[in-house]
Amino acid sequence: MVERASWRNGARSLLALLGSVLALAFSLPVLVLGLPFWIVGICTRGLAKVLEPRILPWSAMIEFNPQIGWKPKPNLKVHGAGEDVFRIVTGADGWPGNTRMDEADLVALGDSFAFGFGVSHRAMFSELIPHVRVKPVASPGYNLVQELLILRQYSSQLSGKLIVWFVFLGNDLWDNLYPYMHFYTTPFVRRVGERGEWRIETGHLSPKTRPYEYDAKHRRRIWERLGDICSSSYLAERVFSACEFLIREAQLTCERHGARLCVLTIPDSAQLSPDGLERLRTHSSNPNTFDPGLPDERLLEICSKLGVTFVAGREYLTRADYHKVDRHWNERGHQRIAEILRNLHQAHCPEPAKTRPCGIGA
Amino acid sequence: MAVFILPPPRRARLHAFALVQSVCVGVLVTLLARAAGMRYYVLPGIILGLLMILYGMGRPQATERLYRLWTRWAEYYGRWAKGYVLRICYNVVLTPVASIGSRMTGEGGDSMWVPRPTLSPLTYGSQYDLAYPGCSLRHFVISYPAWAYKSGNLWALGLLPFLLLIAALDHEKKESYSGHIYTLF
Repeated sequence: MVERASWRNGARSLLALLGSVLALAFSLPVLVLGLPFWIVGICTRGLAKVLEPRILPWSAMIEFNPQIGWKPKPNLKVHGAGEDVFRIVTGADGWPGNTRMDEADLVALGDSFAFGFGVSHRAMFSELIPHVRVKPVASPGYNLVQELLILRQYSSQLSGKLIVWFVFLGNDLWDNLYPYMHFYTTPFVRRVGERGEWRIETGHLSPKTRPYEYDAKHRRRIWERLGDICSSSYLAERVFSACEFLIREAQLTCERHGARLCVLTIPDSAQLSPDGLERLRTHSSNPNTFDPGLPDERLLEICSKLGVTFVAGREYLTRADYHKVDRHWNERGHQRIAEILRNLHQAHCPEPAKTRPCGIGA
Repeated sequence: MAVFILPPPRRARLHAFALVQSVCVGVLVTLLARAAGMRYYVLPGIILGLLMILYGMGRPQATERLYRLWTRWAEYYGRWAKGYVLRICYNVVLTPVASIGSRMTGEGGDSMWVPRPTLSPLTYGSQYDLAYPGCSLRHFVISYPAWAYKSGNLWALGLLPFLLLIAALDHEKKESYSGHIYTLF
């Protein structure tokens, strides 16, 4: 029995050896036809590594902050990668650029858009407005709650400044309600008490990260939520209620400290193309009520009620102002935003910044 | 990783691609000119290569179009080549071996099931493409022959080159993305 098994094993091995040799010979066309692809692929990857600056992963650019969750590290002069490689520069305070808060005329408060993600430091909007010193206070992934907390931290330095709050419609509004941003814990708002008043929650903030997977469903979830806030939905109700609370709090902070608040909405690129709009409509839980202008209308209502200046980015930006794959602005988009900010600054602070700061009553 | 597939285009990658294409075309033309018996056979290759470099650097959009086209061809090739190798492997190696009879037990008649320990929570999102101990390609190349020898399945060694070739050609598997590319979406 053992002898028979051993004979079979030997025969199997011999057949497999002969078969492999024969199959390798048959596989030669695969190698020959593929040779140009292998050569070009390997050489292009190798050469690109030499030509490209070293890219720092995002996780290495931020550090835990017990008040707001995370913050960019100070004095960074590194390269990051989105759709292409770009230069990131942060000042001693960790915010993009080298303008100090006390010398700024205009503060751009926001998330990755205000951070300048996707273009090099010199091409971002804050560097493109002559005679106006712009201070971006932003980090990728921030929600409006974090931005409000930062605004409060800087309240003593806000006097006479124009605060432009970038509200990205592609995730900021619902991120306000959620205690996590992908891997990280983040401040959020929740209803408390019998009257269901909104309150900022930070008790769960921790340097510990959690597992999170970026997959195809990630983008789909964004379409669903954005579709929902462009429709009559439960999510839209909660989102805009929370938003009203946050804008009111920010307006109170600005009023108390002599600053002027302006909300600038940033549309998702999907809101700027017919294909994208159709996709959002089909992903909405209530497609019959889908209206791409709804978030701007709701925010305009809130801002009008609170006396906050409101600018709908959708009226100024086009799909061509965004990268093809990355969700952020390209250089053209940053130029467009610089024009908007310059006009806002002129409208609220008509005289040269050096002689007269702008603020309430300006 | 299917290295024959070009990664998503970036400026440096487009430049590198333009350079590599120019050099390849230059070398090819030089060889053809030599085969044709030209006296200064190096010149046409150098001139054409330099012209291609200038064009590639000066017209990044054209380079990008070629880059995307090349990637699409590479994907077609990968899909075809993988199917071809799988068919060859099945018909030329597995079928003859199977004709002698299969063997589903270990050397002493033991079960060939291998117990696996609990995975780390980090792998929950995507259990197959995270590198955890014992699952690297290098580890596989060493452990697979050892397993074949120990389990009395020496014939399985014949599959090793094909398994490696299929792994090299496989570019269609679902991948989870690294955390630092948050802004891609």
